[in-house]
Amino acid sequence: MPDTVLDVQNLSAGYGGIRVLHDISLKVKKGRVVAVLGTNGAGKTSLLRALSGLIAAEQGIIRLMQREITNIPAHKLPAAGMVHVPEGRHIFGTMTIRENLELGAFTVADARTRHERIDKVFEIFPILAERQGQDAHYLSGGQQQMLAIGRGLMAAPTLLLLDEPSMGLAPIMVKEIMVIIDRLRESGITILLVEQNSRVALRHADYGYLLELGRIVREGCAAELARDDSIVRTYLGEV
Amino acid sequence: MRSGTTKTLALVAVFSSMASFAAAADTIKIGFVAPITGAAASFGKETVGAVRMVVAKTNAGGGVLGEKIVLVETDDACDPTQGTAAASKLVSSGVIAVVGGMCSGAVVPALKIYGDAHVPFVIVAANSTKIVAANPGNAFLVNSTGDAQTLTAMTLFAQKGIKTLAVVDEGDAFSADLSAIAQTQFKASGGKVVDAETTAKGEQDFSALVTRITAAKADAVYWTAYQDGGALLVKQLRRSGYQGLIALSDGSNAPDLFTVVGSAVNGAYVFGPTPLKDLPRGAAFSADFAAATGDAPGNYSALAYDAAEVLLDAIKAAGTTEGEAIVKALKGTRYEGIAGPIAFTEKNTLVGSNFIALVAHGGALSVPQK
Amino acid sequence: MGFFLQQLMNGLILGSFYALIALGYTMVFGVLKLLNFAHGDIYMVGGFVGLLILKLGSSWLGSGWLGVVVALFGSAALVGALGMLIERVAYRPLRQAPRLSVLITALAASMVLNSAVLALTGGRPVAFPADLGFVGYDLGPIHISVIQMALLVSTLILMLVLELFVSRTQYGRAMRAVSYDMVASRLMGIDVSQIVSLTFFLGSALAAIGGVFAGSYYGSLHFFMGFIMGLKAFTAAVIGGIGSIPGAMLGGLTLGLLETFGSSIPFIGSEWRDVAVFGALIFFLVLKPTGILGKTMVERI
Repeated sequence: MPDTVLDVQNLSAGYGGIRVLHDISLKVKKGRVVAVLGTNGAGKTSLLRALSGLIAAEQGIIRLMQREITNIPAHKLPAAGMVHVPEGRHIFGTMTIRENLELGAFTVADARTRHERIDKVFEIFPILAERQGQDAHYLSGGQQQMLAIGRGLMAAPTLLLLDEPSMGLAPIMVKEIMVIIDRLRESGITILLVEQNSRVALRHADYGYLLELGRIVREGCAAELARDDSIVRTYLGEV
Repeated sequence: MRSGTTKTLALVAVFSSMASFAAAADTIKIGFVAPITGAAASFGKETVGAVRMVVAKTNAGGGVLGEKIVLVETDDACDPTQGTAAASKLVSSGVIAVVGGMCSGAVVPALKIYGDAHVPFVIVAANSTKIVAANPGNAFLVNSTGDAQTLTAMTLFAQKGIKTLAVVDEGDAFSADLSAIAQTQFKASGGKVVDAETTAKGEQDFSALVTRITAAKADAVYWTAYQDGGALLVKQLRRSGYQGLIALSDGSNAPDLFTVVGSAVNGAYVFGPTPLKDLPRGAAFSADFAAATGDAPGNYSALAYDAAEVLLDAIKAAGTTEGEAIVKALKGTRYEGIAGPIAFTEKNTLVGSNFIALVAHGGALSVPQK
Repeated sequence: MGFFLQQLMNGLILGSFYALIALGYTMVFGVLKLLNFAHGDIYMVGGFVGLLILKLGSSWLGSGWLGVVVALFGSAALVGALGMLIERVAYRPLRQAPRLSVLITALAASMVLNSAVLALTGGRPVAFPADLGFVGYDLGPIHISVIQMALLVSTLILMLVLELFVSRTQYGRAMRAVSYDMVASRLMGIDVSQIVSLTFFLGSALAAIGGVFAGSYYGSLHFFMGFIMGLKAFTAAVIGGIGSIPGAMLGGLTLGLLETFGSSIPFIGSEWRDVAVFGALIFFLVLKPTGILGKTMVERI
C-alpha cells in the first residue's frame, strides 16, 4: 500500500496507567483529508497526542509512510514528515510571527530554505506577512490559527495533524480555515483532521472515523457519514 | 589541599582511639577547643600541636598526680553555636579542665557551661572584654585583652601623628568590642573618628566602603576583625590608591593574611604578641614544634604551649582534679613562658600587655626598626 | 561629585558580577521554571576551577593576563559541562515531579558542591594565583583599575553576545520557545532536553566566568562565597524580572548600585547594605513580582 501515509494498528494508550485509547486502527491515504469525530472526551486529542509521541503507546503499531514511528520521541517526527498542530494553537505569544515561523522549520538548518518556506506561507496567509514583526499574542483567534497552521507547514510535512482548528472561532473564520484546508489538500498535503464541529468537518473531508470512549465505533466515506441520521443526531448534534 | 582532609581524618581516628583507651585506664582528661574547620581553622592547627607537645612531655615525665593525661579535642569552628556544642561535649565527656579558645564569639557563650560545671578554662587567644565581663570566675586569659591591644594601637597612632581614623569591624563580639574601645580611646586622646563601619562576614566587595574611607580623608584605617576580611580590605584599599596607615587587630594575625593579600600588605601594622624569632627561647621552640608536628609554628603556638603548661602546673599545685582548687592555684600563677611572663590580675586577665605593633614585610611580621 | 561618580563605578562593577550570575538563574528559571539554588555554588566552583587551571598551567601561562584569559575560557567550558551534568543527574529525572521535589534537589545539589569544596580546601580561603597588578587610571575624579575595566567591558560583551544568540539564532529562539511552551516546542522538532542542557551550559559558563573574575579581582576564593552571591543574583533576577535576559542584566546593575549607595547614606553604615538588598527583594516580590522587565508571571513556584 504505497499510497498509505499513516497506518495505525491496534493502538492503545493512556495517561499514567489510565487507558484512554483502546485498540484503535485507522489508515490515512495520500492526498486525503481524514476526519476524526466524536464528542468532548471521546479521546480525539489523545489520539493525536499518541500519534505524535506526546503520550506513549502501550500497544499497537504506528507507521508513517511504511516506517514504524511507534514511541519515537515527538521532536523527531517533523523531520520524518509529520507535523501536529495542537489544539488551542500553542503559538509562541511573546515571539514575533516571523520567529514563530522560523521555529516551525527548526530542523531545517539552512536559513535560505527557511526563508523560501516563510514566503510560501505568506502567500497562503497574506495577513501574516503584513504583521510579521509583531508579537504573536496580538493576533486575533483566527489569525493565531493561521499562524499555527503556517508554522506547521514550515517543516514541509507530508502529513498534517490538525486538532480542532475551528475551536473558538467565529463562523466566518471557520469557513476561511476550511477553505485553507481544501487548498492544502489541493497542494498535495495529507491531513488528519480532529473536529468537534463534525458537520463542517465532514463537508471538507474524504473519509471519517467516529470515536466514542476511546474506541472507533464507525468509519466510512464522509458523504455517507453525513447522510446517516442516527450519526447526525448522536454525534453531530441538531442544527 | 587533600592532605588537610587526610590529616583531619587521621586526627578523628586518633581521638576516637584515645577516647576508648581513656575509659579503661587511670587518666586525667583535659579538653582542648579551637576552630579546626572553617575560616579560622589555621588557628586550631597551630595551637593543637603545641598543646599536644605539652601533654606528650608531661606524660613522658610520669603525668600529673600520678596519672596520664588524655587530650579531648573539639572544634568550635570560631562560631557561637558550635562553641556551645563543643563546650557541652567536653563537659559531658568528663574533662577536669579546658585549654584553648581562639575566637571570642565562640568562647563567650561557652563560659557559662564551663562555669556551671566548675571546669577551669585557660583561654589561649580569645580576648574580648566581653569575656572578662561574662567570666564566672573559672576562666583565665593568657592573651592581653582588647583594652591592652587598644593601648598599643593608640601608642602607634600617636607616634605616627594620626589625627583622623576610620574603624571597620565585622559585627562579631570580638571585632565590634575592639572597634568600640578604639573609637572611645581615640576620641579621648583628641583624635577624630571620621568613619566607623561594619561589614558582613564573608563579604568580598569593600569598594563602597573604601570609597567612603577615602572620601572621609582618614589618616589611618583600623580593621578590628579577622584576616579573611582584613586581607580583602587591605588589598582593595591599596588598589584604590589609599596611601594612609593601615592597622589590623590580632584577629588578623595569621599566615593566611599574606597568602591572600600578597605584597599589598607590606607596610601595614598588625597587633599581636612578639614573633617567635624575636623571643629569647623562640628559635628552640620553633625547632621543637617542627619536630613534633612537621609544621612551622603559628603566631599563637607559643602562647598555646604556655597556656597548657600553666594549666598543668596549676593542677600539680592544687594536688587534686577538683575544679575550685585548680582555679585557686591558677590565680597564684607566676610563670615565665616562651611568649612572655604570665600572671593574672584580680579579673583573671594577663598582668601587663603582650601586644606590640608589628609591621608586615616580605610575607612575615616583624618588630619595626626604631 | 567625585564621591558620587566613584560610588557609581563601584556599583556598576559589583552589579556586573550580579548580572553574570543572575543570567544563569533567569535562563534556567525561564526554561524549567526551576530556581536553581546550586547556581551560586556553580559560580564558586567556577572560581576554583579557574584557580586549578592557573596552578597547573603556571609554568607556561604565568599569572598575568594570559593565564587569566585561559582560566576564564577553561573554567567556562568545564563548569558549563558540570552544569549540564547536574541537570542530567539531579533535575532531569524529576522533570515530571512536583516542583517542590525539584527545589529540594536543587538545595541538595548546592550542598554537595559546597561541601565538596569545603572538604577539598579545609574551609580556608585560598589565594587566587593571578597577579594583574594595581595599574589603574584616573578619569577625572574616578580611579579605575585595568581589571575593573576588563570586567565591565567583558560583562557588556558577554551580555551582548548572549542577547544576539537568544534573539537571532535558531537555538536561541528554541530556548525562548521552550521557556514559553515546552509541548509546542517538541512539536516543532525541538529536542527539549538538548535545549535544557544548552541552557545549563550557558548559564553555568557565565557563572564560572564570574567566579574566575571574582578570584582575579578580589584575590581569594572561599567555599562559602557562592551562598551570598546566589542569594543576591536571585534578588537581581527578581528585580529585573525573572525569566527575562535583559532583566537579569538590568537587575544586576540596579542591585549593585542599590547596594553601593544604600550603604553610603550618611549615618547609616555599611552594616545596612544587605538590608537594602533584601529589602528590595521583598519590595519587588510583594509589589511587583514581575520585576522591572518581566512579563506577566504565569507560573507559581
